[in-house]
Amino acid sequence: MTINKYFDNAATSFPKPASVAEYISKYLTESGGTYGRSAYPRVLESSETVEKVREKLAEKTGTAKPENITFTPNATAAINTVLFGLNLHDCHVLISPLEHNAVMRPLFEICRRSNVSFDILPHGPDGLIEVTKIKGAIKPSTRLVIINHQSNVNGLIQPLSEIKREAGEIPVLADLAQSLGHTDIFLDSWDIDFAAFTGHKGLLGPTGTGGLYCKDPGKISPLIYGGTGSRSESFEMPSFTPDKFEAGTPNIAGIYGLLGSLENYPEPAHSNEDFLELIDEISRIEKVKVLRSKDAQLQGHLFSITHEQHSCSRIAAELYSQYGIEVRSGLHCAPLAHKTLGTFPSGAVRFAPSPTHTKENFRYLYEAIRNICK
Amino acid sequence: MRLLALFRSTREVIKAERLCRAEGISCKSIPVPREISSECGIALEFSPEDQEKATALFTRESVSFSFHRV
Repeated sequence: MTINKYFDNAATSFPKPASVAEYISKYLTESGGTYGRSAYPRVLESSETVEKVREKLAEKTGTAKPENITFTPNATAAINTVLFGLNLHDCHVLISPLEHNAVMRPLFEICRRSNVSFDILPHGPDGLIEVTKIKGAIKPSTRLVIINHQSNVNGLIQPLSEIKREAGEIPVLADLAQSLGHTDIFLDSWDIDFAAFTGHKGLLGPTGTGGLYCKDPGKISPLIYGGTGSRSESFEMPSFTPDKFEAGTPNIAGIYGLLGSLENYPEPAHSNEDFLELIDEISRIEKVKVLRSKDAQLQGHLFSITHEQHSCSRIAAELYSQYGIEVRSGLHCAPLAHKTLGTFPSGAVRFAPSPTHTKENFRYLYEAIRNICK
Repeated sequence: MRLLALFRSTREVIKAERLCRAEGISCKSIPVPREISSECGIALEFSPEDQEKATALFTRESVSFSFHRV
């Protein structure tokens, strides 16, 4: 039996369900057709498919309003849309301690341009936000709270619902890039204001598919302006969603592929207990430190390790050269998270399984790490 | 006399067409006629006698629409 040695699913998922490629191929070779703009059957089929995927994504993210989900190329584009679209200036922003550069870089640019400052929310050593201290961190000028829902370094899942409750009227932007597909999301009942997500990680879809959710689309301006196939007589962007944030032809081929994964998502070949057991076993290897959530209930589907003597790049190189295991080492585009966890600038080696990994695959990974790290 | 419904977005047309199909209201997708609008999108054509049923359906399902007779 072939061993699945790909443990870099937090970067992008692999393997995809076979239907991802099949649906893309069907679109490219048979159905074709753009989204809206004309009324012949080829267009209607594509448009119907795009809307079907929008509805499935609404279901996955726990919102009853699919029109408030708009397609973007990735989570980064969605985050940029919110941060620049809010027209933040002369104000204050609160962020989680485990933010990715998808947030930090646009936020840094806004701070530089527009007299905006930010603070990191009070947290424990694993980055878990201290919910009871949120109110104390809010200033009169605080206009946004940004939360990385699941860390791409230690996998910690932040309690989004409780955080929003404490933030009150201040809008919360949730970065769901790592959590969607692995963790249940309830945007409506959690009362989340903005959310960014991607289709190619936990949802097992193709790259180039992502999305933005806005509870109240009137609160932000579009990032990209252009044709939508609606209100074509006007030089102004439509004010309604999804059109407001969907200028230009969407990635229809990618959206077909995403439908392929959503309709044929594999049954997990391992349990969450198997995964937690793997982390526990690795944490018992001498000289190895595991970056994980202190509370197992808040552990998402990835973790990282460091070694007292070996660099993370050496471990990653040896895992591949000796065992064919594919992982990501370094800072994972999340220097703030590594600073919070005490692993900056040396970094760590990250392991992110897919639903297709078996307990036997985990055993293979464990043996490889143990042999390399001894 | 033809009865046409216009919608503000592709999503709304697709939603409306799907709702009509489920409710057994016959309609046909056509390009928006130039005499109604310079819009480049999709309109739905209905039998004039179905206007009341379609209006009730779209109102109930919060679909933004406008009917035009051409």
